[in-house]
Parts: sequence; C-alpha cells; structure tokens
Amino acid sequence: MSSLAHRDFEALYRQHAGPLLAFLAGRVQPRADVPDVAQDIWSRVWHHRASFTGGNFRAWLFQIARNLLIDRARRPQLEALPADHDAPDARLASPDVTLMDQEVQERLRRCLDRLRPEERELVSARLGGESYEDLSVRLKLTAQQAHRLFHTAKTRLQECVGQADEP
Amino acid sequence: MTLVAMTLPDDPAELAGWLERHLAGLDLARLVAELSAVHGTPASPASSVRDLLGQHLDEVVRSGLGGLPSEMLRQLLRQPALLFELQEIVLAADSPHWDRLAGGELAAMVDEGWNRLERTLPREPVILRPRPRHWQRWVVGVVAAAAVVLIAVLSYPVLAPLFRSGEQPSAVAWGWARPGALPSDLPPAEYLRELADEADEWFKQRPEDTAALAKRIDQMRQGCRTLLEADHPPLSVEDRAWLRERCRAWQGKFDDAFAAVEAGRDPAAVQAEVDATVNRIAEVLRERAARAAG
Repeated sequence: MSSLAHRDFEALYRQHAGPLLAFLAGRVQPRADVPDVAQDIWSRVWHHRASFTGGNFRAWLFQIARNLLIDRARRPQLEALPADHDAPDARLASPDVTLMDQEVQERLRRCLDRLRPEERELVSARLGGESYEDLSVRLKLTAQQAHRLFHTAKTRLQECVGQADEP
Repeated sequence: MTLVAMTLPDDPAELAGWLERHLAGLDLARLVAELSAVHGTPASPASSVRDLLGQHLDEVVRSGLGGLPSEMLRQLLRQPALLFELQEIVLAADSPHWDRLAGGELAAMVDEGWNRLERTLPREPVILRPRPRHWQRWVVGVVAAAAVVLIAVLSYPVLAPLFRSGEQPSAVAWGWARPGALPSDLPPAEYLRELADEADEWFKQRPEDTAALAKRIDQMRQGCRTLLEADHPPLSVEDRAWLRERCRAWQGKFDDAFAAVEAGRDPAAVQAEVDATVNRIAEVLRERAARAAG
C-alpha cells in the first residue's frame, strides 16, 4: 500500500466514520458491538476499494453497512455468540424489534401506568412537542401549573425507572 | 438511568436542534424506545418519512429540522419509528449540516476506530533488489535513454501545446500550484478563504484557443494535486480530511474536462463547465471557512 493510498483512505475514513457510527448505534445490539461492526465495514471497504468506480462514496459505504447488518442478522445464533453466553441476542430479531430497546420501553410503560391520568396526559403532550402555552390552554391550567405538574411527573418517572434498575 | 426523552427542552425554539443532535448521535434507539412507550401506536401513522415531510424532506437533508413546521416536528415525536428512517436518509446523504453534528459528538470514537483500523491495514512490502553489476547498469542506461527519446517523439502532439509558450507544466504562476500558495501561518478560516481566492484566479485569464484552454485546465489539475499532497497545517483533522476528499472529486472533474478538450469537444462548452466547477469550489471553500470561523 503506498503512503498516498493510505492517506486517502484515512481521509475518507475521517470524513464518513462519524455518520456511519451514528447509523450503526441505532441498529446494532448490544451497543458495545458498534465499534467492532464499524471496523468490519471499513475493512470491507478497504478490501473492495478496487470495485468503487467513483460517484457517491457515502452511498457505497452505507450499502456495505446495510449488507453487513443483514449478514449479521442471518448468522446462526450459535455462531454469533460465545458458548458461555446465555443472554438473548437482539441482533437476530426482526429489524423493527432490533431498533428498539424493548427493556427500556417496557420499564417506562410500567412506570407511566403508575402516574395519575392528568400527569400521563401532560407527559404525552410535552413529549409530543406541545409547548406549555398550548397545553395549558387545552388542559385548562396556567402555564406555571403545567410546568410544575410536568416536572413532578418527570421526577416520579425518573425515580420509578431508577428503582427498576436496582437488583 | 436517565430518560433521554425527558431532556426535551422547555423552549419550543430549541426542539429542532435537540432532535437533530439525537438523530446524529448514539442514543436514537433509546429515544425512540422511550417515545414509543409514551405515545403507543398512532391511530393513523404516516407510511414513511417522505409521506410525512413531503417537499420539506430535501430541505431537512440539506439544512436540518430548523425550517420544519412545528406540527411536523411534533408528528415526528409522536411517530418515533419514523426517526430511524429519517436518520438513515440524512446520514447517508453526505450532507455537511448533518456530518458536522455527527462529527462533533463522535470525534473520540472516530479517532479510536482509526487507531484500531490502521493497525490491521497491510503495509506495502519493501522489496530489496541486488545492485546491478557495472555492465548491467550500462545496458540499462542505454535502454532508458532510448526509451526517453521514443516517448518524447510519440507524445509531442499531446505535450506540444503545454511547452509552446516556453513555460514548464510545473511552473504555474497562479492558483493552488503557484509557489507559496498554501501559507502555513493563517488561521483555518483565512486559509480556506485564501484557497477560495486562489481558485477564483482561474477567471483572471481567459484562454484564447483550445491549446490554451487545455493548458489552463491542466494547471488546475496540478493545483488539485498540490492540495492533495499538502499537509495543510492550519486546518483541523476534520477539515483536512474534508478538503482532500473534495479535492479528489474536483480533480476528477478537471481530468474529465481535460480529456474532453483533447477529444475535440466544443471548447466553449468545456470552459463553461469548468467555470461552473470553479465557482462551486470557491463557494464550498468559503462556506467551510465561515463554519471554521463560527
């Protein structure tokens, strides 16, 4: 490999690695595998660089990434996991399920159920992007009351989810 | 465990920026999971991001979520599964706006990744050859001299225009290839603006015939090579990588233009294309300079 080719490859890497990592972080479980998957993708890029005939490098890179993620999803579970690994591997789930941290989702749902109805509605409205001004009109509260109620609900949710963290 | 969704800003004006950072960051999956838990399944969901954003999607790819109507932003929060699709679209688009967001947060991971990757890349093997004997060197010398004469004769029609004015191809008095064109003591923004001004020097002299046009395009190619091989000490690692990547693309365009002139295409049309390319180069360099200054 000439030093120029090496430098060109580093330039490409530095230009495109950040967006690729962000893309992988939402699609690779467990999260700790993201750097390894990124490394595999860049190795594929290096080994197949002769097949890149110009044009949109980013599109080519992301196509390699998608193909590798599909390969990982198809890989038999026994091959993907060490013999002493007994946790379920979310990488093998369907794409939609893989994209979501189901455990967090379930935990938060349980905690939301413990809130009072008006608190739940407020949380839903705020996390749906409604401003305090808009939702105070709709819920017949002053903006200050809505603000205080939301922060109470937020603290309770945070505590509830935190408790679920404890063994 | 801190709930990512609960960091949603109180000020509606900050909502777009907050969501952009999550789209370009590492915790989008968590945010989507949390928003899905809060909102459940929407009654009549949009089938795709394009379905939801329509004509706004191109603007989102180019410039982010800042110009999106607030109701559309709210729809994205209430249909969080669409955020994955949007993330893939904006990150795969090679958009400077989104790359800047991703680059900032993930810089340390990018550096670590390169350090790991570099160790696995093969190096060019160093091949040691025995020194030729005296008579072998003599034979090689004669053959090389003959080859030089032969190449000079065969390539005269191509190279003649470049030498007709008496100027060597490497002695370029304008643009990036000019000696001293890449000062090492400027702040990043000024350095990038300097490069833009030097690109604009293309317009200072208009070629009078096809040979002059070919020569000037070739000098632009030399400038690109100079940029590619330079260290650009005033620039950050990200800006250097960006500049080299852009430079390769520009060089491809100048190579194409040079080949088009040689192939006998209408010189006025080729010159117009090069004018447009140079204008675009100067524009993106100045945009980058503005960002470096900001």
